[in-house]
Amino acid sequence: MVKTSIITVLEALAVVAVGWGIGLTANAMNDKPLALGKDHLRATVKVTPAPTNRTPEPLAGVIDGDETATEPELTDEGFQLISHEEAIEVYQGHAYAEEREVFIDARDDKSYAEYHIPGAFQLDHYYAERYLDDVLPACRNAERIILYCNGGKCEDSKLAAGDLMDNGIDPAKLFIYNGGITQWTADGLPCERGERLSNDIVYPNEQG
Amino acid sequence: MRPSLIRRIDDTGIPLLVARLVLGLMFISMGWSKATEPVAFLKLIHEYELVPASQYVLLNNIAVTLPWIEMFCGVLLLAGVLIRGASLTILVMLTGFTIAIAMRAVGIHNAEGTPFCDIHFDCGCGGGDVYMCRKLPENVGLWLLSLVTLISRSRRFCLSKLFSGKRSATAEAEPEPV
Repeated sequence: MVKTSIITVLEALAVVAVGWGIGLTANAMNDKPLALGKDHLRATVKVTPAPTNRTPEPLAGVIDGDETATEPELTDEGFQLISHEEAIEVYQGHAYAEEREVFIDARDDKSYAEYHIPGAFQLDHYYAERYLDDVLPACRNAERIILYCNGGKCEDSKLAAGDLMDNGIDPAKLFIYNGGITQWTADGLPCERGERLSNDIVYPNEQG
Repeated sequence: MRPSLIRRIDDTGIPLLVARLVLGLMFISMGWSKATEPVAFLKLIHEYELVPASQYVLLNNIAVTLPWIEMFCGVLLLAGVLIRGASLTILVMLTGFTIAIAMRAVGIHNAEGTPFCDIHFDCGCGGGDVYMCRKLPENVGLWLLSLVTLISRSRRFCLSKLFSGKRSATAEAEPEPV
């Protein structure tokens, strides 16, 4: 009985060890391995102290009400926010066409390829090094950088803002569009499918 | 002396086979859905706050390797190799998962007053958003099945029997159960 128990425990430890090894090997062989030594989920990213006198607005179209991050939460963490209306103004303005203002989509490849704000760069924080070469020059030249993810409790835009700051981008230029792609599409605004500047325009809220 | 009814049922190998198939397929399926989305799984396990965010190397390792440990256990059970080791691993994992899920559900219930059966979230189990009144009994069921595979003495329909030479179909040469 005791011997069997010991053998069983040893077997279990061997199973865990082999499974662990397989997992590490699979990750190393992956096209996009998750960096094991990187603090992907840094607890707080301070952008800049940016007191706002705007009244926090409800986020129409953002997932469930109880899933929604509030604007005060973000401003408490020092983030500058941009409202849905301001995001639309940026999109329609000359400065955006001239890349003096840029959108950064902080979602993953699959979501970005499905649709994103037309002309938005992509910066997936979890694999940031793959995107920074494209994104940083645009951010250095831009006067205002607007980051977004899904909206609601999604934290990827904050994390991507941290990546930009780590790479020398002035925090004063960084803004979070808290409504994100969910609010954008809910308002019937155009999106671009596939790669940046593919000009393959879709209206996701009309597809389903 | 005539073996007990439970022993005779176990000797048919059917209960073990059924438990192995259910657990094996479930763990391969759940593991695969997490292994293909390590970032999503990392975010989910972070939400449980069982590992402090400062221990990010450990968190990353769990996110990357736990799904593969689950799948490896599933494959071992399907094949019928190292059944007790795989079963014990699954039993321990299921115990931890179930306690963590229950604690989070209770936390939501206490914080928001949501009726327990209305509480649903993506528990990181590989099946997306689930209702607690379904997930917790399901986990208890899987836990009982893993107990069956752990204590069963039968090795019928198992590959391990091929490696053990001319041993009988049942438990004659098997060690005593745990």
